[in-house]
Amino acid sequence: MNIQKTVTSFLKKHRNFIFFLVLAFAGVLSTLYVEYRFQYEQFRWLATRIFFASFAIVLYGGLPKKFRKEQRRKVNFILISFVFLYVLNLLANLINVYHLDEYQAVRDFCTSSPKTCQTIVNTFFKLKLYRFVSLTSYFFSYVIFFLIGLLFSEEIYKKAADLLKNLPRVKLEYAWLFYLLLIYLVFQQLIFVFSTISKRVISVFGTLDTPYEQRWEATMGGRYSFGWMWTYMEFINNHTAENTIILIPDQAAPWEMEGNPFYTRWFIYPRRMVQLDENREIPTEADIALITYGIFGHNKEVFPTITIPEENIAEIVLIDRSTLEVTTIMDAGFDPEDYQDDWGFIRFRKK
Amino acid sequence: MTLLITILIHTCLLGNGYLMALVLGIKNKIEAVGIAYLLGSGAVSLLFLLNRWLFGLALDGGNFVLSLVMVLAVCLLIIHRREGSFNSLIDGLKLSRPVSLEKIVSFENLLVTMLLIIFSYSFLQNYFLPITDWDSLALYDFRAKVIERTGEMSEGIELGYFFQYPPYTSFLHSFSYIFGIERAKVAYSFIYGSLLMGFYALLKRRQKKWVALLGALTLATDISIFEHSIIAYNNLAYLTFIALGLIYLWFWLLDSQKKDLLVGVLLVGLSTWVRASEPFWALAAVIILLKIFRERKQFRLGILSLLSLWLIYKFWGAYTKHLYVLYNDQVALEKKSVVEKLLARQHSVAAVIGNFKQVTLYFWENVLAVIRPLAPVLGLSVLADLYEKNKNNLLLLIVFLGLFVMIWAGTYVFSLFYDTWDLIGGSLQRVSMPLIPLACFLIFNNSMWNKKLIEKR
Repeated sequence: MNIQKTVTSFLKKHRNFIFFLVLAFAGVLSTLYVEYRFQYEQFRWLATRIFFASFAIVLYGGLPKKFRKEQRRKVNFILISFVFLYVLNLLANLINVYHLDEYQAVRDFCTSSPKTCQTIVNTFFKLKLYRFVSLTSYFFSYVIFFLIGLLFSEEIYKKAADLLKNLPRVKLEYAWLFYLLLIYLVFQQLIFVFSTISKRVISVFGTLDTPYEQRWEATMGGRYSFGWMWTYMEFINNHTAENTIILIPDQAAPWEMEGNPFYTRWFIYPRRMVQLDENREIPTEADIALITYGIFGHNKEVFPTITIPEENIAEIVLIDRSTLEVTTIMDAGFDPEDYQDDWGFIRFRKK
Repeated sequence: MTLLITILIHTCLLGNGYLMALVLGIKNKIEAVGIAYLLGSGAVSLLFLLNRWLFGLALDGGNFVLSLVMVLAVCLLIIHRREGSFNSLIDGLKLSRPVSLEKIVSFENLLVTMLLIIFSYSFLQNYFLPITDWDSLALYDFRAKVIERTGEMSEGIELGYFFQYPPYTSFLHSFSYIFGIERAKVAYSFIYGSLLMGFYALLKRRQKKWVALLGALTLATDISIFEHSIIAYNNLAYLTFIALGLIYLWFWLLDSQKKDLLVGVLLVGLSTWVRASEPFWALAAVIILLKIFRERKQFRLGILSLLSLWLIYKFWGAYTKHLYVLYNDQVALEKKSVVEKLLARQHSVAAVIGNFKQVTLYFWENVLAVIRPLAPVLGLSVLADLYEKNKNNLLLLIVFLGLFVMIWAGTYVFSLFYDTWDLIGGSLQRVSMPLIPLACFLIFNNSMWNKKLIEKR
């Protein structure tokens, strides 16, 4: 009976603290679990996890001052450690530790000291350090903003309480609900924004070696994605005069990009475009026709979809998507069957 | 060198705008810097086209420099005429107090640091990566490329899909291209910075520093706003002009300060120089008319403001009409406006009513997608204001609801003309973005924060 009474009074006395611990652990542990189990689904239970953290921050500000003062150094230490680990993680991703052999200095080092180099590689895999490198920015943001929230929760709590105590009419519980939801909103947005910044800084860094005008390709997912549009159109620009009239496909799958005249004109201006006429024939004013396999869609098809006799063709110029090597074919007709997954253009013979 | 020239171009616009803010009576330096880029870029881009139209100057570097000098000269002349010297200008350029290094680890400084990190990221991304956004390539950036090459816009008649939106953002791109600078996207970081600083300064008028900073941080990290700070669409610029303009006019409603009316009208007017298809500017006209007729104060100034609002609104339409006449583009000249189309088309009552439910649901789904994160906190704020009978905030709520109704009505009218009306979800969400800064202002200025209001009572 006595024990039950003691436990009840202990729980009653420390209910806020216990509640805080439960929420904080639930938040951090569930985040760790998501990180471990569902690394590519960072939004899993995110709303609930953020709610745990926000509620814990609000409660922490209301705990006894003495307790918070004692914890301050520990929280500071954990925060600094996490920021340090986060910076390390960011740097490891920035330099892409899995492809260090791309750096000349690393190659030189490994040639001169192969043993040391091998030991480092072995340690990396033995200690499973790759697990650390692949930790997501969501994980770091969650913990860092939670700790920052704890450090400033007293101040936020005081400031909020200072304002709220002046409220003669609005009920205090209502005001605290507003305060909690606001922290939830800010916390959620901060995690999203800072995680996005981390990820994008890495991708921006990855493009810096490329000249500015060529970054379009990398920014749009690379040569085997939408980025091909820029490289392909640059090839067209480099092989045609500014007054060239280009036959482009209709704006239908799989040519949604290169078949959209208002989109494509940005790449080839001041060259002009035409599309097949109502009889599905090539307009006479066309100087060249794109040979495209469709940049956007999945149901690939070659354009032009029709056969063009040899007497109408001056040359067929192709570009290799992988090597960018250019091949010119003379004295040949065009049959779409022979140009699957090919890119280039047909220069028409003008009569 | 590229970075230097990029910063120089945008700093010139910012500097001009700062002088304009001083001329308009904005004394608070943060507020003046906050709206400086908007005023400077707006005025210079307007003059850039006016010089083309009136004096036949090419849209090139010379015209840009001339436009800058014209704004600068007018501002300096007004300051000198008003005060007899440039002392106030020199004072305006001084820092009001040295930056204190005390209490570096404070809540306010933490918020400032976060805002700086977010802004820096936007700048870096916009500086290092090229424009890849679909609509920008199809129109806004393409126009800038044509301007850079030809020094004019008439080729747009032949090219098609060229004059649908006013050229503000295209001109911002051209200002870089005509000096051989490719990094045109940096302009969007300046607009993003202006939105945050302007919002902070306006909120700071009523709230404590930390509340205003928290409000600015909430706005900066709103997913839609943050994403638009790194893409070359005109929606961020539009919402910045219209939302800050409406907040200024709200301040004018409350405090009747001339400067708020002038800046508010200018910003709302310039919003039509960014996008003219949304009639949100009409809200500003209604606010001004209501105030001047109800209070019979500042009547002349109010009418003059309305006139300038109307002139800026009409400018782009008049210029494109002039081009169509010059190049005899009958198709464009005979094109009817939406209102004309609406009056001309006979819609049956059943057809009009039939769409009501579908449009409302579609509207709700998309608009809610934009303000969903803010909705619970906004709801509590509005309830608190209603409970406290906070008339000031409720006035801003009416403006917010006015925008809300206009967006719904716009979607509804669109649905009467186009069968594809329910495929414009993305556009509808972008059009709804001006609601975000207004919602944030309502949240951070509600009765629960407002100590002054409580003390007064």
